[in-house]
Amino acid sequence: MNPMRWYRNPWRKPRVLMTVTFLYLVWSLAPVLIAVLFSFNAGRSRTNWQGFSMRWYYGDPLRSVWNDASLHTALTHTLLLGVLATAITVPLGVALALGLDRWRGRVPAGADVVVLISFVLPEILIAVSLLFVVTV
Amino acid sequence: MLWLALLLVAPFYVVLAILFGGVDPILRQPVPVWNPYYWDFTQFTYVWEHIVGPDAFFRPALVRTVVYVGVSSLLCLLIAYPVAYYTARFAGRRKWVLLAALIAPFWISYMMRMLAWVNLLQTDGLVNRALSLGGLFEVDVNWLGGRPETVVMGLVYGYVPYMILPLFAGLDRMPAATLEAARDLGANRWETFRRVTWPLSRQAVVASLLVTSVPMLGDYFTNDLLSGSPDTSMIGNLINNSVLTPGQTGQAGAFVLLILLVSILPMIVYVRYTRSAEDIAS
Repeated sequence: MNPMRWYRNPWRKPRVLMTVTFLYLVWSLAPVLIAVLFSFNAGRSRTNWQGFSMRWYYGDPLRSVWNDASLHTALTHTLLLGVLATAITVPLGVALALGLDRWRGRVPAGADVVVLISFVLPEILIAVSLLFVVTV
Repeated sequence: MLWLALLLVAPFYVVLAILFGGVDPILRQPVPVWNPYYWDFTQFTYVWEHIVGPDAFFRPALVRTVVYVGVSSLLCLLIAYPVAYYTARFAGRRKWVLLAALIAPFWISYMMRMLAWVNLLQTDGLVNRALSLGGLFEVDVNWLGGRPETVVMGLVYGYVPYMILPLFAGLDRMPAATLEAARDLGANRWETFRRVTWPLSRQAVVASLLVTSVPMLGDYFTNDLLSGSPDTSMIGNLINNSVLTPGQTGQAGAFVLLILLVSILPMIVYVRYTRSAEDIAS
């Protein structure tokens, strides 16, 4: 088949776009999947596969998730903070969204900007200023 | 609203009070000055002079920030645009599956995703092993030893998902009939893209660039994990380091103010831009 004709055909499959999308998906998800896979590694290495085991989940008497007390507290802290943060932010966010949607006028128009700012602004700025508020 | 004002505006006033305040000479603790009338500008001028003055040891990090953020944003756009375009227009029945896969990174914490790369980029990690093509070549690149390309890669990896979603939303709304019309009127592939698709999606592109590049300005985490070397430190690292050093909190305040000014500007431009675009549309 003539390559020029193939190129001009408006109904050909978008192969290039498809490849780009596929490669992107592999690139974006594979590293995390590999990291998860290595949590089942039998050895200590995070680069060399030394066989499948549940050692880091409950096998190891000292350092597995099941037996290490410090990991337990870390886990419960994470869960607690996650639930707490969700419980506080979801009602506030829903209230704000409802309010901004129903309230017409100048104030909500300005509120859009403020929401955008708080969304886009680098976290470190908010973190530093809150740190100052708490420590000073 | 009150809530946002309380959490955004008030803390920044505290930052200003510390920036223009003094430092306790013995404890090296910052002493905030609340009244603008007594503000002391020495800390701010100190930072400012080391950015523009002859002894500019802060300048390399700032230049680096701008370069890294610029390069990463462009790369992000180069990756995100085709992916979003494909998903919006050609994915067909698989659209929602694909969209779920594109959103998946949001469910994994940023730290996890960077740590995953730390594993892969070890000297005996999978990246080097893949590059050696099964032992054909001797490759032991130290990717994590302060290489700018690693940091840029990390930034792109971290922020691409945030760019794909607004682009997808913009491209999905674009009526397919306009593209068909362009083809019917004799425009080829490239002309259609240049004269129809791109102008129609420009607003989404601007929005997505804003959503990714402004947060990148304050990123220090990617750098800490993927390089850790001062040769690649960005302004976020300067803030992080000076917050942790007693007596330098005022400098952190100065940098915070700097990023704030730099990032508020494009937001105002963006809001005005979208307003005028809406006026034209209506």
